[in-house]
Amino acid sequence: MKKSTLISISAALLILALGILWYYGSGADVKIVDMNASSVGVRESGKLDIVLQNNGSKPVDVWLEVENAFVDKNGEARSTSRLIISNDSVDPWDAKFVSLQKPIHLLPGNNSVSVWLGYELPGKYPVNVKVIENSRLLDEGTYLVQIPLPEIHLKLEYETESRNTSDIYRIYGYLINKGLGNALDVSTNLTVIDERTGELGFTSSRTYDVSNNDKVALWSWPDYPYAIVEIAHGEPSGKSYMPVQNVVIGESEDRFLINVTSTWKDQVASAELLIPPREESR
Amino acid sequence: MTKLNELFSCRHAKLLILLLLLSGICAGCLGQDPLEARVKKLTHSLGDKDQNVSYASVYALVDIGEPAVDSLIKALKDDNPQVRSLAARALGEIGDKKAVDSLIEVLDDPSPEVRMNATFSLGSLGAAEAVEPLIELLKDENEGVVLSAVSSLGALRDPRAVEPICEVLNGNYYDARWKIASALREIGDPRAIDTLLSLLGDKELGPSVASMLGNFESEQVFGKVIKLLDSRDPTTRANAVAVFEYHQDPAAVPYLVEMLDDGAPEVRKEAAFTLGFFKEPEETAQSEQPLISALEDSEPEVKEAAVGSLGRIKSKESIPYLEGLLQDNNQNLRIAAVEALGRIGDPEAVDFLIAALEDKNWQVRKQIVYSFVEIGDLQAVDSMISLLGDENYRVRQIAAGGLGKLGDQRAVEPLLKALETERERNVRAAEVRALGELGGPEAVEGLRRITMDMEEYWNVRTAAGDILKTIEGVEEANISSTS
Repeated sequence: MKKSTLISISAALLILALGILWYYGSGADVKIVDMNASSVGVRESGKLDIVLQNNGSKPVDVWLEVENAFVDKNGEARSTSRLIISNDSVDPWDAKFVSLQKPIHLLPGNNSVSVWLGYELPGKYPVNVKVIENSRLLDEGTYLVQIPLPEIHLKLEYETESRNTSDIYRIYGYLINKGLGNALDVSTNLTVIDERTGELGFTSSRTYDVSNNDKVALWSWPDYPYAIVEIAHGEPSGKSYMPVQNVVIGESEDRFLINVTSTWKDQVASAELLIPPREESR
Repeated sequence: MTKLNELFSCRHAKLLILLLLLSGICAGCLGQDPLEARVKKLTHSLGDKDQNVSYASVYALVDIGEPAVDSLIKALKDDNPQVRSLAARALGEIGDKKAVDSLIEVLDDPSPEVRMNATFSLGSLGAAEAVEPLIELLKDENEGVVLSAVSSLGALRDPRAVEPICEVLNGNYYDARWKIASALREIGDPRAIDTLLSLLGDKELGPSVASMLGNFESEQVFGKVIKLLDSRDPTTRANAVAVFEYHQDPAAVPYLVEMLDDGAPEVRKEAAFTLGFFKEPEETAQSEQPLISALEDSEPEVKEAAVGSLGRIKSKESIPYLEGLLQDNNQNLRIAAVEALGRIGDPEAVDFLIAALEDKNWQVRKQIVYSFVEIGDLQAVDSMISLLGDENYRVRQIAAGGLGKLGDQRAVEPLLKALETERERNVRAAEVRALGELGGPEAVEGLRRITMDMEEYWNVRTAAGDILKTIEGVEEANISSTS
């Protein structure tokens, strides 16, 4: 290649480089100075608070691009459109929603914005925030959001009533979550086995949702127990006990093992009751 | 050394110009306004076959607002009817009046969806200049377009639209009559009154039309409605009576009292009910005795309406009659009587209500608690405490709430005891809130225990925590004000 050609190409590239340098070199001075997220559980709405510092002397319009703010149950990150809210409202539902379709107007100094967060599964999610002005990346930051696991437990209790020649045991149960994340679709099985004969009285199963640090009653109808065991020392009472479905009727010699087992992901919790308890046999 | 003229020789100059053009294009791309580019892209996406994408584009353009208006106006002339239709809708949502003329222009678009959305948007924009074209659209062959035009004309409140809308109402739009009548109510022009009155005989629409007539001046309606009280059609008479729920003209009272003797039960029921809205002494002086007499009506629904009205006008004279109804076989009457006694608010009724707590119907017992609270007499506290052990969780919940409202400290211990055995979430929450209202060291101690119990229902534990914070805040404020 001739020397003259090389000079021509160099001159043109220099012009191009100067043009790009001029374009990018005049960007606003905006930095992410702080990011913080409050604790959030599975399927709860959370917020990532971001402090953007505009070091210039004039307001500047920037765009935010946020990755991993919403992740569905298949692990796919979802769009973050309409997720930015102004930080001047305590109640998130009263907050002013600002669309990500528009630039955010930053005044000189610190500006607070928040991004909605939501995750269908527990885990660690790096939320990446990019601050952009006219296609120019001004700053970028990542905040690691941790979605904690639920911790499931079961509890059974009972009360007794004697009616005519029968002892009626009303059994109540709770699925308790002592963790921070929500446990959804917790599969819960009830089995009742007659200890005397070893026969399975019945089984039933249902799924429950239990929020973090909460509990749910296993019974379906308020004021009605989860299960009923009637020990008839004479003629059975003949009561249907509707709407309770989990009902077993036995005789004086019978003793039933009530077992409830809940399974959620790799967690298993169970609770047992022996009805009637050993010290109560007539 | 290369000479300057060689550098700018033909071949080199071409290469240089090419590179300069390339850099110009790059700079142009980089320099394009990103908002403008986004508007363009979103406007194009209005025509996407995937409805999720096209609708999301509408929302995004509405979010962008004014900067998107020009692009949307241009999109009203797009070849794709979906783009035109969604652009018309987005323009209405954005609310920029700049779009009015362009929207009027597309009212004759061949696509009904475009006409419908343009019509809707003109109503949203409050475009007074669109009234005539919208009236023309009432003759459109498409029902959706006609009804959209009716709604928009209602929103524009232009009296010119009244007669054309009345014609539509008399047309073939049976299922949409409520919507059309509502537009007439919105406009509020007296020329619509006769058309609306003619609908009072309609079994489905009549009650709604009675309320719509409440939007007009009483003097415009009164005489015409009174005439309808003599109608041969009982539905018309009943709905004519109902108009006075919304026009409480004292002159109507004698007419309403007269209607208590109407031959049709639905008219008597409506008259008994409506009289409860006339609460001035000179009005109740005319209605009280006839309403008490209506308690003897053969129809339970008429009796129930009379009971309710006696409660609303706070008729002390009716108390013995209402007490008698507490034993009635009809549970709705018993509930109505309990509610009325609560509204009257006379402590004399408390003993009757305590006796009625034996009622087997939980709704009666629940209503008794409400009435105890309304009367506010502390002799009911013991009975309400006993209801903390009621077999029905809703009664227990209301009883706990009522004890908190009555504010008698005697309830603290029973509430704490109830919390030891109560299993239902909402009842426990009500008991905790009641303890918060009652306060005192015992209540505070109980609430503190609940806040520390990690096997407690979350809402109950949180309620206890919030109440404690409030109590502690008040105590701190008291300490600092005394020091």
